[in-house]
Amino acid sequence: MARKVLIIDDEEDMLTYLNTLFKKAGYETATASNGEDALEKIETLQPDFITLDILMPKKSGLNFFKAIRADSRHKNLPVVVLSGISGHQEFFDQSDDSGPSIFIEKPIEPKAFMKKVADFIGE
Amino acid sequence: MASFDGRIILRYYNWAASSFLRVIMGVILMTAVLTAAYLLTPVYVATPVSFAVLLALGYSAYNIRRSGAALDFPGIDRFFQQVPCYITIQDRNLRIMRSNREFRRAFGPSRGELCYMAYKGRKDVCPDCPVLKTFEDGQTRTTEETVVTKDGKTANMIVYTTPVTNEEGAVVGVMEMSTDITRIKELQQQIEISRKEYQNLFERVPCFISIIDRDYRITRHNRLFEKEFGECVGRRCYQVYHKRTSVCDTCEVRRTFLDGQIHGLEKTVVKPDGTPIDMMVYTSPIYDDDHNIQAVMEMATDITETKKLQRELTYMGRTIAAMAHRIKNILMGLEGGIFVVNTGLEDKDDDLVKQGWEMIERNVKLISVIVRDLLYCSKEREMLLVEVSPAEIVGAVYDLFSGRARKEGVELIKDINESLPAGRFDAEALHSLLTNLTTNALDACINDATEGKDHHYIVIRARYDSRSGYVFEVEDNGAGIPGAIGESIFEDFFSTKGREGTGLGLLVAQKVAEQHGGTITFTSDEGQKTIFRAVVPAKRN
Repeated sequence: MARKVLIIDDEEDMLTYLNTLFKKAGYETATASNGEDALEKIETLQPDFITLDILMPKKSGLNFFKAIRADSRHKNLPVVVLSGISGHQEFFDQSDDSGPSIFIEKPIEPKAFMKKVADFIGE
Repeated sequence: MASFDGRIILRYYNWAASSFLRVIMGVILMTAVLTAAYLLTPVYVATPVSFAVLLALGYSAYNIRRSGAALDFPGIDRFFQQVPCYITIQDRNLRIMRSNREFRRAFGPSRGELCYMAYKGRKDVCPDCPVLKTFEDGQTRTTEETVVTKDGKTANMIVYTTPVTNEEGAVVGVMEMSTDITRIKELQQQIEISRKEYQNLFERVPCFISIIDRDYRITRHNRLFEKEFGECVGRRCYQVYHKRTSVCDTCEVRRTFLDGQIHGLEKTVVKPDGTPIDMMVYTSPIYDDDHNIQAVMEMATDITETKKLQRELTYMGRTIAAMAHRIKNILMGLEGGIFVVNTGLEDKDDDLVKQGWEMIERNVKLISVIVRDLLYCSKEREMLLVEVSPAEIVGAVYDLFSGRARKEGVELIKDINESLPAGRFDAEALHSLLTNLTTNALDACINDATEGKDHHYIVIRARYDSRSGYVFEVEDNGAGIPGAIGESIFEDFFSTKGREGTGLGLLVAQKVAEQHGGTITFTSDEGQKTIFRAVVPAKRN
């Protein structure tokens, strides 16, 4: 059965890119362009993992991340964190309650990216 | 008047009785002369000259009440002959009647010779002849003369003339005693040259030098210092440099007084007209003979241009870093677009091809926008400073944004201090600074998703502070700046405008502030209040 991924990014281009990438690799996909929308879709779609952009306007990726980790239902939801700012990695490295997560710095190279994700979610 | 005649038979009447008196008089006279010679001549000539004067005047004293120069007292005559300076006795016609051995060795046999011929090889009397003057007034005097020895060498002499009187007290001769001070004169000249060189160095060295005492008063300064800060001797350094009324918190002069070490620091001082200068200041102790620090020398170099260059380089570095980041994102957009197009072509999905192509178009367009902004940032734009009212510029920015703010439901407030004076600004650049900050503020409000917040506002504020200068602020209660981003906002790319932003807005604003000699800072209580503040000094280079 195909793994289900929720792609969260405020940039339309990134949503299209990642959506195409995951679909082509055989994943089932859904997209959300902001944190509120994403929380709703996590509840309704029950994704196997999410990809999360950090720099988002309304609810920043960091706040969103803290919010889902504070919710016991999503404490163990695997999160692929994407950011163009390498300094963000330190936040996740130093955080004790980051749960199952992997930090990937933009830009991504499709094959390497998909391999990292597959390794992370245990495919 | 008795004439000087060697044939006069000297009468030694009552010699034994008067010898005691002569010794006493001689001692008194010698002491007085020694003291005078010590006080009136440089230290390094005092000893030999005093000795010679002492001897000469001792001889003179001995001859008091004698009518001539026949030195029948063998002890005195031996001293007269052996004293290490030149001694002659002239008559009124300036003929040398007696001379000592040292004189004859240097100037040759001279009895009966005219003194100006013997000493200088002259054919006529020297102007201001000290011997003649001593004949006239009977006074002892000191002069400096240049003489020529028998082997043709020119020598500088210090010359003492003293009258020789007969027993009636009439001046019957003048004794001339000279000491060769040629070497001393050479040393004096070298000292004078060194003094002038030191003076020139102090005055003309291209940095500001001042000497400061323990009371922080300037006791001396060089010419460049005076040119920039005016005559400041007697004033305190902190008054001159900083217009302060008390010692600076980080005072290098005090540190040097305390530890005797050389200290250096960069600081900004203010010229009398209010213009700030960036300085590199070094302080160094000046010791007295007892090795106590009596003053501190402060040497400062104007590094305003260097600091400006440093800021430019820092700015360029930041711009390049921001560019690299943004280009990285665009590259990702382009790669994504190509991937989507290829996938669409493979799957024969026209919609996907179209989506991918639009991604490529958007990112190519973004490159051109970035290149435009980058050119604005990096171009060495000549500042066009004009006398302008900052209130008008703030008003123009307010008008520009009022429509869009209303449409987005954001209250736009203009807060201008009524006493805001006009100043010299690059109006277009200042407008650009405020536009960039207001754009960011508006986006922060539009994108704010803080729960329970139903009112957003932006305040564009301008005021004047006599200490800081002009203060421009753009305040909003929008989304704010995430704590994780913090101070890197000026160093790393940051955009609240998603794919529309170039991330250069703040860099442009910062460049404008710095071009005006100012700074830009921000405070942000995320989701509550964010203030960007540009401070521009009233006086600047």
